[in-house]
Amino acid sequence: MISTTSGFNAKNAALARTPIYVFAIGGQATVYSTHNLAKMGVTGTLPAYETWLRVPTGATQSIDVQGGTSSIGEMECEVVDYGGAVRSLVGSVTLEGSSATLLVGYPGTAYTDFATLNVYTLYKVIPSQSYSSYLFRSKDIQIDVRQTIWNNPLNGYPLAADNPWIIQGTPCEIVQAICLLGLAMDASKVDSAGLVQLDSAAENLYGCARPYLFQEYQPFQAKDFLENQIYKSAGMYPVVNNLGQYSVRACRAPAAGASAVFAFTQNNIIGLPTFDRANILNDLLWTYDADDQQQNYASTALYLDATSIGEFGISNERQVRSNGLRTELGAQWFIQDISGRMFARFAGTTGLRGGAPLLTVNAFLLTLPVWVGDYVTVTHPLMPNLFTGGLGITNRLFEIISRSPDYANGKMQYQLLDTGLTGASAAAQFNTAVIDTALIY
Amino acid sequence: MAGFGTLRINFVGAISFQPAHGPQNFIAEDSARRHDNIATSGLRESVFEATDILIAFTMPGIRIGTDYANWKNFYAAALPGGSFLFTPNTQLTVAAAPWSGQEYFFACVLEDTGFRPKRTALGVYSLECKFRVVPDALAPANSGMIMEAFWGLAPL
Repeated sequence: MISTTSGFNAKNAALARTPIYVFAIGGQATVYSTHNLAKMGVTGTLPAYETWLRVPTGATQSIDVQGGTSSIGEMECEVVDYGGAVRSLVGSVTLEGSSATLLVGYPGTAYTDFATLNVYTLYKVIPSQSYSSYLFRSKDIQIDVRQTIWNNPLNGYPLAADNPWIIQGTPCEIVQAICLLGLAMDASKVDSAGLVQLDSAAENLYGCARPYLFQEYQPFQAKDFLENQIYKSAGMYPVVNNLGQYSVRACRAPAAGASAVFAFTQNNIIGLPTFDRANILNDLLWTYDADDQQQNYASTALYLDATSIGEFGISNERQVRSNGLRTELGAQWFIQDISGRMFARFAGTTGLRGGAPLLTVNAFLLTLPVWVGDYVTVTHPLMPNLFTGGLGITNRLFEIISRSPDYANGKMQYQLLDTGLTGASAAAQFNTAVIDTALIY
Repeated sequence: MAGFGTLRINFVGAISFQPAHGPQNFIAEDSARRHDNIATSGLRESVFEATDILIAFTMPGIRIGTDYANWKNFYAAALPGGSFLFTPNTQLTVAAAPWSGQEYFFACVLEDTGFRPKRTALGVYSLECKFRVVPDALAPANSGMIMEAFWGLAPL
C-alpha cells in the first residue's frame, strides 16, 4: 500500500471524483498536469505547471513468485505539444535518463497531499504519430539493475580470476551489496529499511541464515544474478515501490502474520473475479557448492512433497542452482527450509485442493493505493468457495502479484494469489524444524 | 429561426455574421468525459476528467460573395487548429474583467475538420459549424452561460 495522506484518503474514498495527474521530469521546473491546479482548488505551493498532460494509462507490475522474478514496469506519459513548447524542450535538453514522476491528487486538497504513483527513469522521448504531442516513456529502477557489473567495486579493477568480488551474507545483504556497491545505485533508490526488516531477528527468516558466499570473477548481469542466484533460491521476489525504490518480498508473510492493507468487496470489485490456478510445485532440485570456476557443483539435493505428488503427480521439476550456496555455511538447512516454505504455498496440499488459486479482479480506481506484494482480503457473496463448496467467500487473504492500472479509463486490475494464509497463525509459532507439513510458511 | 444576436468571430479580422443569414439551431452543450465503474453490488464509481463545452449551429443562407468569402477565410484560418475568439451576441456586454464593459467573448477552436458548405439555392449555401470552447481563463463555466449569452441574457 502506498503511503497517502488523510487529505488524499478523504477525497479518494468518494465515489464521484476527479483525479488530477501530474507528470514531473527530473531537473525541469515545469510539471505537466491533466488539470489546471489552481482552478481545481489545489492549495499550497504549486510548481510551475502546464495543463498539457493526457491521462496516462499507468504502469503494470507483475511478479512470478515461484520464479523470483518481476516484470520491468513501463510507463508512458503523453504531453500535448502546445505551441511547440515541448518540441523546443525536447530539442534543447537531454531528458533521457532523468526521473519521471507521476502523481495523483484531487481538487480541493493541498499539493502536498498528492500521492506519488511511480518514479521511473526516462529512456525514450518521441513525438506521437501526428506530432501533436510527445510520448515520455520510462521504466522502473530494474532497468538499472539490469546492468552488467564489470569491475570489482572494492578496488575498481575488472573482475578476473585473480580479482574476484567475494560477496557473502544474507539474501538481503547481498541485494544491497549488488545495488549499492556493484551498481553504485543511489541509496535512496534502494528500500534499505524493508531489506533490513527482512533480516531482523523478529522475522527469524533470513537473519539467522548466511548461507551464501559468491566469488564473482567475471562480469555478470545484476538482475539475472539476483533473480537466479538469490531470489529463486531464497523464495523471494523483487518489487519496485511507488517511490521507485528497489525492494524485495519474502515467500512468507511477516512473522506477526499477514496483515491485510485493503479489503476488496462487492462494493469495489467490478463484475465477477475470474479464477485460475498457479502451477503445482512439489519437487525442487537444488545444485550448490560450486567450485572456484563455478562449473562443477559438489552437492545436489532433491526435495519432494510426497503428499502432493501422490495427489497431483510430480510437477515440472524446478531446478535451483546457486553458485553461492555452500554447505559449510548452512546451505543444507537453508534449502530444506525454503523447500518447505515453497511447498507449503504451492504444493496444493494445504487445503487448497490444487495449485494456489489466482484471481483476476477488476476494481474501482479508488483501490489505486494497493501495491504489488500487499496482502488484501476478498469478501464477495457471489464467488464460489473452492474449499467448502459453498457460495461466497469472506475475508479470504490474498497476496497481490500483479497490478495493472488503467488510469485513462478510470479503473484498476489486479491478480491475487491465495496461498492458504487465511487464518494462519503468526509465523513465530511455526516450528521450522518440521518439514513437509502444512505449518511452514 | 434565426438567433437573437449577431455572432462575431475574431481571427485574422473580426467578422460579424448577421441574424438574417443565421445562425439557426444554435446549441451549446456540455459533454462530460466520465468513466463509470459499476461494482457487483451496484455501487457506481464515477471517475471524472473534465466537461467539454461544444457549440453547434447552422448558417443556412451564406451567399456567394463577401459572406461566402468571410466563411471561407475563417475556415482556412481555423482548420489548422488555432484558437479564435467567439462572441455569441455582439449586443451583450459584460461589466466584469476581462470584458470590462465590452462584448462577451471567449476562445474556441474549430471542431470540424473540413469546410463543407451545402447548396440550398442558386448561389446560396448552408454550413454546419461546430466549435469547442478552449478551457482557459475566459471560458464559461458551462454551456448554459453560452446559451444565455446567445439570447442576450447575462451569462451567470
